[in-house]
Amino acid sequence: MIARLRGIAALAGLTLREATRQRLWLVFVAIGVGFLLAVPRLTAVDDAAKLKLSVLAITTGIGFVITLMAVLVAAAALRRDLDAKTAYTLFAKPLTPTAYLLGRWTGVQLWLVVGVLAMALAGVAAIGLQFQRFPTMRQTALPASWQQVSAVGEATAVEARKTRLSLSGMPGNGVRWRFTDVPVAPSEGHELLLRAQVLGTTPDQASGEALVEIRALVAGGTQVLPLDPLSPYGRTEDRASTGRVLLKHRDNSSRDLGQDYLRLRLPSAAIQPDGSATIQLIRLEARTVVVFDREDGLLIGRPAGTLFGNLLRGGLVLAAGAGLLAAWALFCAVVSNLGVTLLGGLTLFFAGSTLDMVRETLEYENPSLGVRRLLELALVVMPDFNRFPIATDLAAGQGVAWATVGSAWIYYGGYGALFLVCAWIALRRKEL
Amino acid sequence: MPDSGPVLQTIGLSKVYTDFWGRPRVKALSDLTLQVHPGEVFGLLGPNGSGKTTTIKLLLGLIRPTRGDAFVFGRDPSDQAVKRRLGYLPEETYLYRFLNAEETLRFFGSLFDVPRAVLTRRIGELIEMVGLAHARKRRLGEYSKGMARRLGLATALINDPDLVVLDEPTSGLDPLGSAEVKDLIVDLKRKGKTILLCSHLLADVEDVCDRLAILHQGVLREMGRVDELLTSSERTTVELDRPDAATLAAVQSAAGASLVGVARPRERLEAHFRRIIAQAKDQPPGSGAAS
Repeated sequence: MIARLRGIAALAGLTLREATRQRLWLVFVAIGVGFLLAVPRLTAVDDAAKLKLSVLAITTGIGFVITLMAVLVAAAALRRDLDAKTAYTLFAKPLTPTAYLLGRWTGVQLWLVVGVLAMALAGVAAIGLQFQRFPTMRQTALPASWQQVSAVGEATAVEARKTRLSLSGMPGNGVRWRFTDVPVAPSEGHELLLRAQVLGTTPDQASGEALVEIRALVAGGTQVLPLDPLSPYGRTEDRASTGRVLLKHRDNSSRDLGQDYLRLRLPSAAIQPDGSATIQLIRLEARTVVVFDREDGLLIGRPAGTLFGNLLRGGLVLAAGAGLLAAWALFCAVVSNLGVTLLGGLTLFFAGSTLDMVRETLEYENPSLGVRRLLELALVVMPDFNRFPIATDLAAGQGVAWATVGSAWIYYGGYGALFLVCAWIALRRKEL
Repeated sequence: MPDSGPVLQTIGLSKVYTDFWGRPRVKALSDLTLQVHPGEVFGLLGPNGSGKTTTIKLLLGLIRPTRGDAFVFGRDPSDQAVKRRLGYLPEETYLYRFLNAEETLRFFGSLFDVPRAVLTRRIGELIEMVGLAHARKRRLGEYSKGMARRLGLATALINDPDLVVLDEPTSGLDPLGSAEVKDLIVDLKRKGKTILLCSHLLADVEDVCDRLAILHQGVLREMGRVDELLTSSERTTVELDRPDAATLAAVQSAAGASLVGVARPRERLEAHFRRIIAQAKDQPPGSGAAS
């Protein structure tokens, strides 16, 4: 075991040194300079949108570079060992194929982490220089359960499979959300973030705003949730603390936690001793239809640290996906040449990035049975590179939790392990 | 097999290279049976394509035999315990061009269970030994072929191996370098190491090898002690101390009192090798057809 670890460490170090000596770090430098040059030149309707676009561009850039780098470094390193016959010298030493592959893969991952660190630093510097401020990052939590409340106050559970809840008709009906495991609130309370589509009751009626009442249910009554002073909207003519707020329409493309969410405060008094909190929204007007998305309609937001920290964690999520590609590239490199390996690596990446389109095709199109079966199979077996939308999340001010990093490594790690096993079988069978 | 047995042993070892579909393509080695004993310098000779490198690859576990068995230190060649006791210098120097000499030796040394301090000391000694002290920090991409060869030799010895497999160790070296390698082999032998040597420089093989085997077209043509192989059994040399004309005349009819030695003439290895290969070529090509 120790001998194997020794081999892994030696190969990982060699891979890092190889990438460094081949000046692949220049790519990171070039991208960093690119961030510094490109961010001031981005155009958007206002400064907030420009900041959002900058974060999106930087995160996308980091993801793209480490994806390419993972395939290139892994494929080139292994192919060179086979083509230049360094493998003769290597495998005449006490180095097993397992240690070799794990060492190469670990080296690639370390190199990607170095790249993420360098590019994240450059990205944060670019934003700091241009905007003199950084976006506020929030960690969010979803409610554990939803209930629909009728106009007479009767509450019924919303089925888990329903992705959105639509409220219409006479006023007085509403929705009740229950959060669990809410941590102790700071003195100013937790942020409560609410986003909804506010539509007209007929298709030709313009969408707009709806007056609603939002309160927390506490033992023996309700508690008004104050509007956050920095909330982008929600203020009514009524200055009294009645819990009435003006909900504005935000469609699915408007998910910025800083700009698109109504912001309330959830004080400690609204949190039950068991850590639960129940929030109730009641419609006060009949002229609109209010639609809430289950995945991000109501959130509890907490500070999620600096942009740099979140970019780093986001980079680790992206590195998990790139690690899968590195493992795939190692497998391809054992069985084929460098050109095919690079093509194979990028093909898997692009194929795994289209699964959202595949889902839409299955949902809205009517393909033939054969094609349907094929697409369904692709959804099951292909790794989904859009499973963790880090770039859009960070652009929306959504922080990246360590739990997300862990989930990404578990998800992509499963595929990566499978490809490494395939590479191991191929390498063991290969005659040098 | 106990460790006191032969260091290397092959029994009916055969290798047929196949194509992608598994169809036989080249028969590289046929029924090779040989043994190399501890402390021995064993020469493996043969023209290009005779199966020498295939034999070495089989003994290193880099390829699998089609038939027969190979044992190194009594174990399967792919056993990691075997590789810890083995040093290998391939036919060409296959090292990383982006590393310098020290880094190369440290990298390959780190694959063995050698304490860091010992490894550092050994790296210094080996670099001195192969005459690369002046270029220890220079990257291999800037090395001449001879320098790379010297470093390859040092790499093969980084773990202080019990068995050293040298495939054309003097390839790319100047005459001085070749002589140094020959001295090194003698020195290793003196230290009790076992050496398997493949070389085209027959004079060197003749000087340093205890036993040798000659391969041609994948078939073992001859094997034995160098002295025995090169000593003619059909002719006798009579050596006289400053004979005069009369003595010489007398010797022509019978050995006289001034006779100081009678020996069988020793053939040069090169002549012997060429004769064996010529004979092999005259034989019908039944077995072995290496490319």
